[in-house]
Amino acid sequence: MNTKRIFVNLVISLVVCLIALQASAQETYYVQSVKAKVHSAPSFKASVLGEASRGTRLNSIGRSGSWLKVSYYGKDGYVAAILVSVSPPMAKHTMIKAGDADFQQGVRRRASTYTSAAAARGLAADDRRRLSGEDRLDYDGLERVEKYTISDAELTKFMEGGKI
Amino acid sequence: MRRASVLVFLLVLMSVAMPDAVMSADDQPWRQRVSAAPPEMTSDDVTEEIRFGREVAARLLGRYGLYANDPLTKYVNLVGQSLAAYSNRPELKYHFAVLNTSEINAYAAPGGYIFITKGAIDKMQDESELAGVIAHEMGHINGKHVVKELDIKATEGSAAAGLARLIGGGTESARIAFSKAVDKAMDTLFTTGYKREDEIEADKGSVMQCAVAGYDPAGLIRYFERISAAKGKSTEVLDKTHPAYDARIILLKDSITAAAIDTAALKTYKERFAEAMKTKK
Repeated sequence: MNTKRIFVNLVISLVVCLIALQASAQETYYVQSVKAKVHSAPSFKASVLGEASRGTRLNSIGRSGSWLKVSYYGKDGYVAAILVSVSPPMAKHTMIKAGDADFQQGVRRRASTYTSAAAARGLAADDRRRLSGEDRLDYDGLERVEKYTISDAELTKFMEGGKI
Repeated sequence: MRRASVLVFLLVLMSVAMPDAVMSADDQPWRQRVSAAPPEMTSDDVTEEIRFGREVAARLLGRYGLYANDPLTKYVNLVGQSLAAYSNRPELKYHFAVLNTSEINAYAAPGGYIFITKGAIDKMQDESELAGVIAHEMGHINGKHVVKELDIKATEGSAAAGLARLIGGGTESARIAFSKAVDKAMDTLFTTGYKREDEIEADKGSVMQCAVAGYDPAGLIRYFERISAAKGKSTEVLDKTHPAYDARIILLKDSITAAAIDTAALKTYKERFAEAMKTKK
């Protein structure tokens, strides 16, 4: 291969890298939170250009610490990076329903399964007692935790600074 | 010579157009986290995470018991859901509960389960402190710290896939693998602690999470300052599994400054917290 060809290949490679890097620099992000304020500067003290709702696409044009610099209606804006992600928001995954036949079957099996797993791991009798005591499973408590809900109206009032 | 000049020009152009491309990874921690993130999660992966988290949550409840106080449970859920509205994981339904122990600590299980001990709440003086602790735990879930550490996903090779086999039958070895993965998660919570960088990420995340939700992120600093003086059995697990308070306080203060947060303009809800605490037995 002659020198000229090597040079041409190098130039082409660099140009391709440049294009690829430029493309990756303008990544698309999606708002994951209920809403995300877009500030005029990377600061909570900066004025708010607007609020983007969940699922809004934002093109990033850089970053500054915990802030993502985005293009927002023709202006440069900043959104807290924790509120966005490169993937569109996923639908809410509901918990495994306690009435689910498979789940109930699993719970019934679990006590003996767990003990056999501990035994199979070669745990001594004292360790097995520890597992059945310290690490016992409370599915009734878990079900109470999972069933607890608060209404949207109550949450909205609370978030607005209202009393409990 | 001319060709070399063209090459140099292109390299300079790249560094000007893409300054980040020529920065070291250490200069851009946020970028590091994004690039280190696992490939996009599938819906099945999320389901596996929740199933795994349920097992960890059931063990936490088995160890300490649920603190049965409806008004307090409601209050903790209101604070938690206020923060969850600004979570970057809308696919999760977050659950919040109080553990019936005087130990001072809080725990997160994958899939959205967050627990705070009664002992920890006893040490708090305003709502922003509670919000700070919850936001820190939420950071562990949103950062998928246990999920990444234990490789919890829906694929065959994952330990968590053992639960599907556990429920549907499956082999003894799959059950053991799953049980061991849950053991490891419990070890992380009670013995070894999260990786230091995960704790840092959770603390930094707490600052931003509280601020976007309207809470004073300095609440977590005040809480740390108070519990750092409470040495003894009540903080044994917390001290063993977390970095030193003074280092965490410095990090929190730096994060607040870096994000230009005016803490005085944000809420502590001291009165609302005091009102809620009246319901404690």
